[in-house]
Amino acid sequence: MKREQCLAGVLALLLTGCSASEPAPSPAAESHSPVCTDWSALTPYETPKEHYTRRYAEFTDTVIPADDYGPLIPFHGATLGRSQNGWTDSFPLWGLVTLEGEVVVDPVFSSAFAPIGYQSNGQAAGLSDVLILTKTVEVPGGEPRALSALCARDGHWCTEFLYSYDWEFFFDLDLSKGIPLWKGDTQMVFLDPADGHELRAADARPYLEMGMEYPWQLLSNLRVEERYAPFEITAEDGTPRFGIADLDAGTHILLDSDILYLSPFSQGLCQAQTVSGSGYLDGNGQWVIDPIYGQAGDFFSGAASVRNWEGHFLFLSPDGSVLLQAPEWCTEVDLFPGSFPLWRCQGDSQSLYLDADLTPIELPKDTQRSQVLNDGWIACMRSDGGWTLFRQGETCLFSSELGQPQTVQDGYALLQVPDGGAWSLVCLKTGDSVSLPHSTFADFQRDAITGQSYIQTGSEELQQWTLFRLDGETISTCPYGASDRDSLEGGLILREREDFSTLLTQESETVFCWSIPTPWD
Amino acid sequence: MKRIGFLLALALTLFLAGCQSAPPAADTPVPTPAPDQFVFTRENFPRLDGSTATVPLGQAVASVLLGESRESVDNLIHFNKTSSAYYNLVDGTADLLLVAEGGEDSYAYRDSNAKTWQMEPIAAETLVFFVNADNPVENLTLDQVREIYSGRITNWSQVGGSDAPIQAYQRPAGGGSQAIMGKEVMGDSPMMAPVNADYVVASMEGIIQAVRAWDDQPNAIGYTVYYYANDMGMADGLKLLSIDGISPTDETIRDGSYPIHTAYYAVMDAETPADSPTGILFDWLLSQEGQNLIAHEGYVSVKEPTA
Repeated sequence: MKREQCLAGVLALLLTGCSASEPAPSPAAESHSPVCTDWSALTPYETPKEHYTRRYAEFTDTVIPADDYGPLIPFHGATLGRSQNGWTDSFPLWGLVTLEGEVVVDPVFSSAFAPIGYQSNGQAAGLSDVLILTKTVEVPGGEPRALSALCARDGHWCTEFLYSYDWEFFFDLDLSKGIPLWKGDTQMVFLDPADGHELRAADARPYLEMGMEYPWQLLSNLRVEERYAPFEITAEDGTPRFGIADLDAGTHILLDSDILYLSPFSQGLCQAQTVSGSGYLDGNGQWVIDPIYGQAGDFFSGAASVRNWEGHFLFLSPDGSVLLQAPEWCTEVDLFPGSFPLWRCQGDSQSLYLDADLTPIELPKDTQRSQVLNDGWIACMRSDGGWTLFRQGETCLFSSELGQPQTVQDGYALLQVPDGGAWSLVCLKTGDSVSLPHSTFADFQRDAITGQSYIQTGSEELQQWTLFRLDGETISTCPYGASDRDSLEGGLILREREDFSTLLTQESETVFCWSIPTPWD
Repeated sequence: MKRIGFLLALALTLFLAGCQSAPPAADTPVPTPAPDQFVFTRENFPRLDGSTATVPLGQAVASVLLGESRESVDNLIHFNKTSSAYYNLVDGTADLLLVAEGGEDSYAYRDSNAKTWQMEPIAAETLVFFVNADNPVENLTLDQVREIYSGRITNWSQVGGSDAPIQAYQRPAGGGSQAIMGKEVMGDSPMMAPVNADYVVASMEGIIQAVRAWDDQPNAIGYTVYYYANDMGMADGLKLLSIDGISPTDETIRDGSYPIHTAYYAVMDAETPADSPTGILFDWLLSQEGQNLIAHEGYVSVKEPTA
């Protein structure tokens, strides 16, 4: 009670103090200043005003499952220092907030993100319905340990904090089939992104006991639908030795020492490189396709590209028979997986495209040169300098003034104008275009919650990032020096700076503002 | 206590929000430059960089020199924190710094790139130490501070307080506060391992301690720069200690009687021509009008303000 009275007194004093307004900013004090100044626009510095509500009155350090949160957004809410080996580093901590600005978890997570499976061709496939949350705990006398949980984006379920991850686990992987995580010290699991249950678990102890230098490699080489995974150990003489683990049986075989490399299994086969050439092994370590090729790629949709010692590219079936021989001018074969998979046979001055069935794709006439964009789109330059976008019978023609197509998303294309200072945004259906001026870089982004596409540009000239809607209207701008770029989350602008995190409507109304309590300088 | 602290912070925030000065009248005459006056424009305005603590100053400088609002000039103020700012000056991606004193790495980087700087203090600064308002200790000697942070004094009873262990919080290395602590307070005495070394801890209690490091810790002592404590409301509900019997105030910091001394500096490449926009701005910051602006923004100007 005494404290409440004290508080009331303080409030009264503060409010009383407010009744007298501060004088306007000072005018120039020197009548002969060598510099022209104008103090009239100077307003007081405003520290960010916190604006949020709390679901739980007490400090909350974990996700308490509930059905009515709606999508949860990770926000940077604290920055802490940690001394280690004589150095102190800073680490952000992340909390979770609803789209209404209600804090559900205080900033306690050392990371909180929606997992993304990066592909070898540079594309990424993210999961929007789950978050991986990580707490880092101190281990007395040892290195800190990070423990992760998988959580529904809307917080209606959350696993225990039992798991660890490495970014390598997510490389070249379709995460919708299962999210690979290390559980405790000895188990490898794939969690179902729908509800977090363990789709598959394998005991890693038999392999750990072999003295594997990088035990996590086993998991990064495993695909949820494959039984086997390659691994590498260091033999007693110090040389690397490869083997194949049968994870369901908990057994393994060690391969001959002339194996130089094994790729992850794909469609039951593993690409193997030996001193004499490359071929394919099955899970028992038997050659299904002998190592007679100079170069070999992974199987995809029943075909793999190999290069023979004469330098010619062939497409093989899993039994080793030749499905197709690439043109003799071909010097490189690339696979572009995804919803519209493509093979590209590339020569010095020409290209041949094949669909997943190895059927040649006929490019539009008058194609002078071409390049693969994303989602199966091919950009073809015409003799008039303009470009044609092409995908399985769909074509869109652009004049040379609009620039060169760089990326396509949700029926819109981004084209870089030749002078490098602007980009064009074109609707593929209507052909309508808008210019994105002062843009050095541009790319599509996607709001993970609403699925809405938008565009982010960077301007070297203005030293700022800008978000645009697909109609070309500006959503927000932020300077290059800001601690992070703005992004859209659930239709709101997430703005994270050194000293505060905010959620704003696209009309600039503040939904959430959290002051980050540590001043760094 | 936690709730009271929160309410006090809320009250102070409301107070500060309500106390902002009214914007200037729309008909405020825009000064007409005299023929011999230099006019800054967005095109010739130097690329500023600096510390987090000098962002408000950077905005104010740009606002007054360009005649634009603080919000309008925000896209000109890309301050990358102390260390990075010094590196950017060496690399030529910044023209002028408004910055706290750098660490040794900044000077080593400058020397390895054969650069020289012109560097002048524009505002006095210091470290302040604070404790929970319930802590009976009002004053420490500088030696006692040093002994606490080297781990030789461990109980408040050793410095006139209650019989309770001292929780001595530190700031992260690389920031200005820790550099000042090392240079101006500790000297050759090594600092002990920080009690707030854990950046995430498993228990709720521990997390509160780590995240809200200054709150609700009756036995804690911490420090930050005066500007934060005094002008940015970082010390709500806490008590600033006097050091060697001197309280930290604008006057004791400016006249040097408060025993810990540091500064914010204007720094530019020594080869910068004096009549270039950067050179002109550098000199203006040291002029009486520049110093008035610095004081107006809540920093301790090195010259007494006249307005």
